[in-house]
Amino acid sequence: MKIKKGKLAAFFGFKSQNQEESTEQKSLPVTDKPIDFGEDIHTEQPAVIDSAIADSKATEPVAINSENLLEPSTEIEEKTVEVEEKATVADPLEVEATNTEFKMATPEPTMDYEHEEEHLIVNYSKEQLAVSEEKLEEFMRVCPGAYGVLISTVDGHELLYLVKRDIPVHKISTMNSSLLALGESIARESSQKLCQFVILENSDGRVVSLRINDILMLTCISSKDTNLGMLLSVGRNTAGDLMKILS
Amino acid sequence: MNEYKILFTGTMGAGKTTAIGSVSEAAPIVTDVANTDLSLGKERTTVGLDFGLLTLASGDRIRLFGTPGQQRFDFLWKILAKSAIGLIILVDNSRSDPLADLVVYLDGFAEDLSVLPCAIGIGRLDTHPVPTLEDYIDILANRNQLVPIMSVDVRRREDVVLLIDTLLAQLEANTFGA
Repeated sequence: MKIKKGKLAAFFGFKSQNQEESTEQKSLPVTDKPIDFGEDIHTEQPAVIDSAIADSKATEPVAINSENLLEPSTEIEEKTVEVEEKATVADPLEVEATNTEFKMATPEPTMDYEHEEEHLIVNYSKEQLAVSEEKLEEFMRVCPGAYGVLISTVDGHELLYLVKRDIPVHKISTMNSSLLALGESIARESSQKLCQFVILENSDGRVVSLRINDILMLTCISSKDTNLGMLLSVGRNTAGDLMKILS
Repeated sequence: MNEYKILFTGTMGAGKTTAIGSVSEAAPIVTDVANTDLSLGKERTTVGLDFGLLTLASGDRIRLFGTPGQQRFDFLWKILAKSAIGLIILVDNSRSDPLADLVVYLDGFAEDLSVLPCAIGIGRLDTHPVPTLEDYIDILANRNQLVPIMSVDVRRREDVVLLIDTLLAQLEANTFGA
């Protein structure tokens, strides 16, 4: 079924356009410019606060502060102490990572819509989250240029994240869910299967997104200090580990 | 041959993906993923865009884009609205406050609506008769916005075509100065 442009002219009482007139018609005001995905994206900086993991609900997004890992608790403490011990190995990259102060970014306090995290179907135990946190820590240690790693749902809710800079985690989670979905769609339309990574190569860094499982995804943010191969490899290994932990 | 871009937006579950699929000549491109938000009562949700294609009798083609419904994806609303010649807003009348839902999109696209024609389709009005079309018209009148509004079932191709026709009629009026 084709639509005829003049069909509804009478419906609105507009002057009907017949075929003879159509040769003199003005073109509709249309532009066909490519979409600029980098334009007008407003990124406000979130507040920076500290928070204890033990106080966080399992379903709330959790960010890691290196001090959190030393707080007295049961299994979480044991696991995090183990991480600290590993960090003392004479590996310059790991030593550097242990001296880094991680920050927690609140879920975008400047956005005025209601946060819905309490309704999420993802519901992991504190033990699962603690082990996942170790994996994020490990990622940051191995990739010296990495300054952010996020676990979020494929529809854009952040679950767990580790950042070294003030970045809008809530927006990044949401935007990367769009990007990953678009990447997977483009792969399908290009007759290619299994989109493995969506890679943003920028002048001073990279953002890599990949799936963990059907409902979770991982976003890795790095400066150029980590080469792309390293970032992809470590990102893939981390996602594989997280898939087992958060299954 | 010209190509025109029309943008479908509206609340989650209002039927944007379905509407595009109803009229698209080719299999629509969708970016639906698992919805993890129980409060939204839906298994899958659009997080990127929907895309479909429709050919007019003149040979011109309409590219149909759909936005994600959730407001946290509003960064995509602005991107997708670029170069569109018109906007179709779909509202699900079975939601708790559909009038407020409409206002979200009128506000979210306020800048675009100041220059673009728009049509509004209200879904599930048969099963949820309140608020009525008059209530919606009052909301628009209070905002000094004159926008065609109609009851639609986006599963029906003719309903979606009517929405598109309504947009095109407004464009004709603007272009040819009725």
